[in-house]
Amino acid sequence: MYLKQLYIQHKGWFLTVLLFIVLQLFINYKRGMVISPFYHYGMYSEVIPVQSTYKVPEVTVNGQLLRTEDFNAVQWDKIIQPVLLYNKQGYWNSYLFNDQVKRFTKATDSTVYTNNITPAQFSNWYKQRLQGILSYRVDSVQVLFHTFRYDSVFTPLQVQSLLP
Amino acid sequence: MRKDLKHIVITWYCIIFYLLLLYKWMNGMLLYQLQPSFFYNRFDLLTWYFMKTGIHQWLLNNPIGWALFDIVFYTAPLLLLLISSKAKRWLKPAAIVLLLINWIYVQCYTLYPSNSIEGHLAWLLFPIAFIPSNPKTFNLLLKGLRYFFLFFFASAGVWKIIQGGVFNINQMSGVLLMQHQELLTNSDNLQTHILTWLIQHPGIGYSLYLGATIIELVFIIGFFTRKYDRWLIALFILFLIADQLIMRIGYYEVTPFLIPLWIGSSKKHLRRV
Repeated sequence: MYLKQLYIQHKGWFLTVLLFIVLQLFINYKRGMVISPFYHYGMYSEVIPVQSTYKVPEVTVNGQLLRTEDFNAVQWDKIIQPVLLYNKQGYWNSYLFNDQVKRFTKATDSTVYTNNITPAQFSNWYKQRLQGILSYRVDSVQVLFHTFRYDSVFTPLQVQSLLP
Repeated sequence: MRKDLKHIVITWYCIIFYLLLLYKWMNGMLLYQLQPSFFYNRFDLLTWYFMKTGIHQWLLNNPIGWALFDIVFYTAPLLLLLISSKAKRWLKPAAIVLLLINWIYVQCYTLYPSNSIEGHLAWLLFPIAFIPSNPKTFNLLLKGLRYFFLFFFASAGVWKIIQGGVFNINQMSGVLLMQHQELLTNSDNLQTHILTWLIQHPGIGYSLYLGATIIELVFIIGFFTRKYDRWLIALFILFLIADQLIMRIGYYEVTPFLIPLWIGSSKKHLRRV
């Protein structure tokens, strides 16, 4: 009924909307890669089992561990997201470029698809970001990935350092 | 003078947009406050073509670029509103420019550690509805946005069935552990106690997950009737609040989609068309 109304009203918009519907359904059917603005909205829809271990990022500023409860959700994301993404971006961006971007877009130059930020540059930038959130002078920052065993309670296992 | 429906929608679009601006500014989420220094690619073909322009890279460590982008992105809706009330014949080109600005800003912004691009869909799609000059065509595209929002929610529920999440009794325990691992390991407050309790009582946690899935599936009804649109608005607000309280996820950028739902449920507005 809606499409019929649109067809009668304006053929061009009818075709645009029809194409939108077809592509949205196609992207959902194919899964995997998306094409903006056609996405899947299946966050947390796959089976997520309780794991036996969790690798948790920890940020220590001036010798003091930052506690999630002291920040609202947005602030905490601003603290943790850069750490998680910086840790993965080297591998992930290169993988996407070499295995996907090259194949689909025929791009040959990786410059715009990969970062050239060094750990020292990230460390300086991250200090500044934390200073903006914490509103006090940040002299030292340490970022660790702490592995915990989970069996109704969290038991600390090993520690892996990202910064410094 | 009675304002037309498009002007009303643009006004509400601006009200929500500027409330979100305030929220983001207070939380330091504008581009000039985020000060991106690296990006994180995503599995998106259009983004890969966009990245060929190098704009996202030009913005890294570029304070003037951040300020320019923020100013342009956050001024554009206000200009559209002014044009909508004072110079209607420029509305079509203004809507096209707004569409372009929103696409470039959102593409860049979501490549940096900020938020997902899916959450910014309203800014990518709404300007399209503002393009046609004919009020009837505009109203039909607005209806299209309403259908899209219904799909957005309903498909999330369908995915939970297809991918099996809804059949896993321990699902919510797994989700909460994944979502709140930092909070659960470094904090000790009322929220951590509630979350721990939910994790250790998978049946109760699962009923929350099932409840969320049912809420999402209920949006299917909107494809058949507009009679329950106000109930869908209430469910959506409930969903947003629960998402904030239980998941610590603020999905507020999708709130503009309430406009077509509200208009769809309002006889007064429909009479204007």
